[in-house]
Amino acid sequence: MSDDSLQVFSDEAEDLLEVAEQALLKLDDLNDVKETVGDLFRTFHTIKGAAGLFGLNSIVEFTHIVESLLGKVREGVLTVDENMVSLFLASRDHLEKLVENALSGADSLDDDLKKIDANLVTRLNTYLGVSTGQTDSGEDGESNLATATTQEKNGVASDNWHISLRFGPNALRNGMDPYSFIGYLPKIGEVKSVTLVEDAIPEWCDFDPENCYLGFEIVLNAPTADKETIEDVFEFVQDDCKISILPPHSQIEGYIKMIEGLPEEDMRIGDILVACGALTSSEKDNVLNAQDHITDEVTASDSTQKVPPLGEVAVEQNVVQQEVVDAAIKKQSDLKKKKTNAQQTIRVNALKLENLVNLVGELVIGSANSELNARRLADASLNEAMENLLRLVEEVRDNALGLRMVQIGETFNRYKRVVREVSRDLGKDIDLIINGAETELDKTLIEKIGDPLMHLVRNAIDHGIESPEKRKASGKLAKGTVNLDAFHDSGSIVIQIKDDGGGLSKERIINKALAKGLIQENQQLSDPEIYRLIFEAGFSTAEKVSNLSGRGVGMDVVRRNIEALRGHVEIDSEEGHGTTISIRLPLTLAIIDGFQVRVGDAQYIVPLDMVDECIELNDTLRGQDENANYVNLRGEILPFMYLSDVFGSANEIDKNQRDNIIVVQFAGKKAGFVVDELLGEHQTVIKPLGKVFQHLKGISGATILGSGEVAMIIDIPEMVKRVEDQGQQQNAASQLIH
Amino acid sequence: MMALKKLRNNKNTKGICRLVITEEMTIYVIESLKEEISKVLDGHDKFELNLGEVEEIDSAGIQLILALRTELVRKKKELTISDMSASVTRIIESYGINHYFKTADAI
Repeated sequence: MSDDSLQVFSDEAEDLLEVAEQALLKLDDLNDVKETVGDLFRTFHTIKGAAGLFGLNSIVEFTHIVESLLGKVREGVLTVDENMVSLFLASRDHLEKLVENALSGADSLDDDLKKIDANLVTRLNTYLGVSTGQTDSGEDGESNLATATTQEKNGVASDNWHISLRFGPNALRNGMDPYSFIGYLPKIGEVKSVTLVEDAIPEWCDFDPENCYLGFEIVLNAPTADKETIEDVFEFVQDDCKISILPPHSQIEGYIKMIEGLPEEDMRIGDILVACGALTSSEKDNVLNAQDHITDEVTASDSTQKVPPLGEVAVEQNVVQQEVVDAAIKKQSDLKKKKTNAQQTIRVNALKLENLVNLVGELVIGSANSELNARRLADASLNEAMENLLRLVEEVRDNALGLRMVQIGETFNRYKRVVREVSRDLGKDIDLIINGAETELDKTLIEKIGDPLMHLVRNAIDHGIESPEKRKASGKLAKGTVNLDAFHDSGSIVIQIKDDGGGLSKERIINKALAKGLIQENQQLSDPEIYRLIFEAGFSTAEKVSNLSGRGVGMDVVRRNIEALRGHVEIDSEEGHGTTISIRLPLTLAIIDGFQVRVGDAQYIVPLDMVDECIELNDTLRGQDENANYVNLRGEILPFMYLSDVFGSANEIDKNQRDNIIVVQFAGKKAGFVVDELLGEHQTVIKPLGKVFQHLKGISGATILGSGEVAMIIDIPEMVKRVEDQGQQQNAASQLIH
Repeated sequence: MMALKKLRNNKNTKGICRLVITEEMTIYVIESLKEEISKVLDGHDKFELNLGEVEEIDSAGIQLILALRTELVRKKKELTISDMSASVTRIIESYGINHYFKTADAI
């Protein structure tokens, strides 16, 4: 078997297992499990089928057992409980391993897998065994039924259509007179017989003459008509009438189903059908016997819920009613839709995408260069063409970057499972609420943020949410809530993990930090600074170390991972009410819209999304104090700094030169930077700095300008922090504008 | 009173209650027809239904006749249909219930 096709199987299985996991988790919090179980059944069935195609017997065998159990649940013989869901989840995981194992080319299972396999099979069989006694499964029953019905598989002798009508009480009031429908039938065929069924008419005193109680059994000879034509006759009355239409030579089962659906007693209907010539009397006996047989089956399998196997039988044999046809058609078109959806996505090697994005980056730089030269030539038509080209390049850039954007929902959904399992292990009851699952984020970012997020979620469950007893004691709902939110905010994406647990204790953090020597005795710290201490290496406030978290290695790793993505973490907490951790990440790692400025001789790029406005730094703005590092911006205090101070560029402060402040905003804080010249927008391809410059603060990368020069990209979050720190040091206007 | 007009109740000899329905037997008048018939139902053992003057009848009318027939059979009383107009015959035939009723040849 070729590796390629095996890879296809593995991809498909991966998708299906993902679907299965989502469905399983839905089972947990849904009361109406029927549909979900149906989905699960189909999913596992598909896996089994695909695995069978590749001769992966270990997978087929195992999936078969899972499927049998799901079948039992679907039939209503067994009900789902929490343990069963866990068992299914474990089975799903095991299947994942089996698929991996098969993909690696191993012919048989290794000992570990075998052990797990045997264990799960035993557990699954326990469920199956309990429900059915010794015999293996419902399949025996099914096959019994199947043989019972196949024996009588021959159609009835009659070569006429049979139409059974039972009008609803409002038919007459709604102007749907049965007479007009029956009167129309001669137009499509010869009406062999009409039998009026008046059994439903009540006694005179209860008889409401405006209600319709009539039913009809009609035998119609219409060799040229198809089912649709006949159905069309009754189209208008569909809502007010139960209609069954059986084609000529219908299977006995069709009649069984019809009789079952009719209100009259079965024997009576049998006689009516014989009387109107639809069935011969031996056929009638067959029908009624077969039906008894089925009824026995139903009562024998000691189910609480009545299983209607007839429907399935009838559907299999193409003897179907209007509603069934409708349902089937709907389902089919759904399937078709799904299929077309699947065809609309293409799996692309990530490396190819990366190459494309890199090329687009080069294209952007190249076009900037062309633009520069075109401008120098000052040729009107060339400039116009250039403008056009630039616009297209910009669109190509956006689209290329869009290719790498992935919704974060899938990542979030993974944590549902974590929450479920961890909270169960800890004996807590916790809801995970996800918002903004459709928020898009660069694929690389999503991959890299997965682990830190997982850690934070676990932390929230383990340390954040208290035990149910404790929660009740403090007047909260016993059920804790963890929120996972994602949204866009001025050029960055924000992911928030919010719990309604105990919150952080400032006192404990300070004590711990003192003990660890992270802070000095009488050091004054603001709340955010205190909270930020928990991200320091070796810091853990948990008194109890569980196997999940609390070992003090997590949080600083989380912070470092996020900062490696040019992201930032913030904590907000209220003791007794919960903690919110916000992660801010740049939208993309590759190309951004930048704002180009000049400081001294060098050019710098500020991410445009973060630029709030540009203003002139003049005396009115500056106020009385020449040396103050803040200005009054329309009544707000705006701290600022000279970029030339930071980057140490040679600058003789020219008093006559006009200074500009660019006002940037990050995470709700504003700061101003004084630059020498504003150069305008620039499409910026971010080139990471080499290893040597990795620890350089205030610069997040570099880009190549059209002229071939290198411009540094300013790390705004870092600079805002620096302005803030500087402000606090000088103890002037220490608070930033919020 | 439309209904009275439709139903002429002639107590004639031999204890037979003759019900004559005229004009229409449709959903629009069916309620009052039932009321009229109900009034005389208990007083007699034999009924004769004359539908010779019914110009218009629909399924509600047929249903009323069927209900009446069932009720009388249940009470071991007798019902004869003495006459049928063409419209009544047509619907009764297409419903396949012509053999349901004892039809007196003529009056």
